[in-house]
Amino acid sequence: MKVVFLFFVTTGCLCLSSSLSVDTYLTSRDKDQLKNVLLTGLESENLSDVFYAVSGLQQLNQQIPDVQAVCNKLVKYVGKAKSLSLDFVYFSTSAWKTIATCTGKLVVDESVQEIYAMLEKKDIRDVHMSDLYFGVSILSNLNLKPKDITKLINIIKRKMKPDDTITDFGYSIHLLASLGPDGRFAFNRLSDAIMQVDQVDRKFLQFEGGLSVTALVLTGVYKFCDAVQCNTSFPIQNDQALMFSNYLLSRKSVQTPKGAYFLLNALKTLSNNKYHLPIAATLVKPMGDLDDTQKILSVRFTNLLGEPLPTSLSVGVESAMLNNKVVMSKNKFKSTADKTVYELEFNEPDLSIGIYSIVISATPLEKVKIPLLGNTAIPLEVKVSASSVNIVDFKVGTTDNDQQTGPSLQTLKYGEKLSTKLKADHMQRIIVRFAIKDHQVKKHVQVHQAFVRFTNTKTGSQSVFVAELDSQNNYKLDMDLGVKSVSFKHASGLYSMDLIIGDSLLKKPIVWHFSDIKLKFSEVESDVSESFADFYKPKKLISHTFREPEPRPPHIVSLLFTILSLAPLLVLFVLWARLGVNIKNFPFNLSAIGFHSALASIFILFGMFWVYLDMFITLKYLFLLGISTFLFGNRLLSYIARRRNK
Amino acid sequence: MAKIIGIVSKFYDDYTKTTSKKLKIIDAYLLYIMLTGIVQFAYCCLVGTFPFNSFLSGFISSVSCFVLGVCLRLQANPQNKAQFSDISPERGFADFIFAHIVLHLTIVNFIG
Repeated sequence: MKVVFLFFVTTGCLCLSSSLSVDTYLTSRDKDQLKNVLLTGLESENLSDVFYAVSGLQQLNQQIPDVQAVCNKLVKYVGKAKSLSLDFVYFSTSAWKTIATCTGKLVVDESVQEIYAMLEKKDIRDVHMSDLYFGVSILSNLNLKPKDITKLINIIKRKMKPDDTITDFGYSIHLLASLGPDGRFAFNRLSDAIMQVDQVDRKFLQFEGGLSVTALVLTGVYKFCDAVQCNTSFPIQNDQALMFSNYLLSRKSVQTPKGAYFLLNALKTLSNNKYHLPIAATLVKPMGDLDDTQKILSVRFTNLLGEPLPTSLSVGVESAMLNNKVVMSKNKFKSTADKTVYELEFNEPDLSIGIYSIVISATPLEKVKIPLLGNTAIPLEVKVSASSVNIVDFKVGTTDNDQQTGPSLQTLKYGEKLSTKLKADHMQRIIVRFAIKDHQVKKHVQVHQAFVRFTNTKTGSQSVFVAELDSQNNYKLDMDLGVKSVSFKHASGLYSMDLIIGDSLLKKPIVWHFSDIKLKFSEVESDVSESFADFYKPKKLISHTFREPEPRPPHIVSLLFTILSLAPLLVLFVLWARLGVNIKNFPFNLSAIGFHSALASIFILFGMFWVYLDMFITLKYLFLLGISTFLFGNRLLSYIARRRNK
Repeated sequence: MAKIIGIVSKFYDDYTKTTSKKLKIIDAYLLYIMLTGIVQFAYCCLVGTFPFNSFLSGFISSVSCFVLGVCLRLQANPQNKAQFSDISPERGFADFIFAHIVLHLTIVNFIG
């Protein structure tokens, strides 16, 4: 049972590894683009960008334009800053050291003292790993050394924890790498950290945080292993190296100087190390771009930076499939004058068009010290297209709708045009029949697009119809004009007929004007005038109409009802009078008069609001009146209450 | 029929005897409001509702005045003293005035 399981695991791993390869590299165009990104970094106000730009340009072997200006900028920035943070000093001194030809002096003595103090600290809880890294790097930039290396290593030992962030881990291994073989204690941490990597699509590996973090850790691991001599127990597996390469190359359109620097740094590390050499196999032209005249498939083998490999290769086809059928195997590529390019005569017996899935392998011819990666089972997609196709058995004609008489079809050769004009009316059908054949092997070909286009010679309006494929691989358009007259907008007149053939495997699409036809539809041509121009003209203006007022009743009725609705007031007074309302009890004091007059004015105000005032003015007055009413009312009512209680 | 007349006359007698003068004044006011509302409704039925907002605000004014009047009557009624123990008739009247001011501001705004 265990053996079976193991077998599955190993075959699974083999399958996984066999599908891994790198299919792109840093082309000269990519390098130019990165260079432009880095040059913008030189102009930056940010010292870190200046450092990334300077270092990145050095990685690209490019001259730095106007070096002294950059140096002056560094001096100026360092002089101007009030307090120097460690990363600021790190970036400036590193840039200074990278340029190497700067004249003048960076004044950073204060920071050096600060670093020495930091390294002497007993309590290291608030010392960050990045600060340690920056500090030690600054010292080495200034050709200084930490006073006590053992003590420094002890600090790092205490600071490094299994739950460190991956960025801190990156800084710590860079730092340890710079301290030489004494950092070996951290070797066991490497595999733990590499476990944290994220895999995407079984093709990419990246650390959380993206390009810069991935590159930081990756370069750190290689540097660290150089320093402590990991040798055979190098922690990054071959597959992982390929997946890292794929990830880095997928980010080659990065737009920041920082990203460009880290990308170049990591790619350079992957291409120049003691452990392995990932190679990139790329088709020189997109998808090979083969056809019946161009039969040579060129593949380029380079390292990730697009540089030639240290050895020549023996490149062979392992398998080639077209529509899941094996078509060739064991063919060999030939080397060419260009050391990176290998060519295969693609003389598949009849070279059918289609998309081939090819798997190739490249083995080094000479003995190499550093094993190549990604050189076996490289999958390639190669397209063989037809440079041209032939249209045969082309027939066109019209027939009556009732189909009592057979169609009278005229035969045409491809490229010719019918000498007589065809005629058809809405009672007839138009028939077009043809077949498409390969030029070379005279085989029937199916295409993605086969259309017949009618263009009105007067208005230029077009109607397109699909020619359908029948079981004998012949194309046919059988069109009832009466049914399709809507597509022509019932516009009678002279039309030109074109045949359009297109396919992704056909290099040049075909547009063939084969005939003219006079169409006659039953309805009048009035619709024709409604062209595009009319469509965009302004529409008729719509003006808003208010609701028509209903007829008012005669004056007498209105007046009657006004009196009627006022009449109950009279009833009220009569009733009150009969009940004997005692107005005599009215307290003639200020608050009573004030209250009643204020209340009356509020209702007068409402009346004015109804007639001409607007809401804002009304509310303003109402507020004033309301206050006085409230005050007077309060006094009056409490007076009444007191009098009642007596 | 005679019974009904008897009941109504007894009711009327009781009302005139037992109800306090204050409440009678309010009742007269309520009757006036009700009559006004009926006249407006009759107009709407006989002549038409145009302009509708004016009719609505007039009619709503009557209805809500009636409601407010009833509220005042409830609060001023000595029999309801237990329920409105902390509300004096004066306080009720002040609320009545305040509610009227707000109500009529809305109605005048809506009357158009």
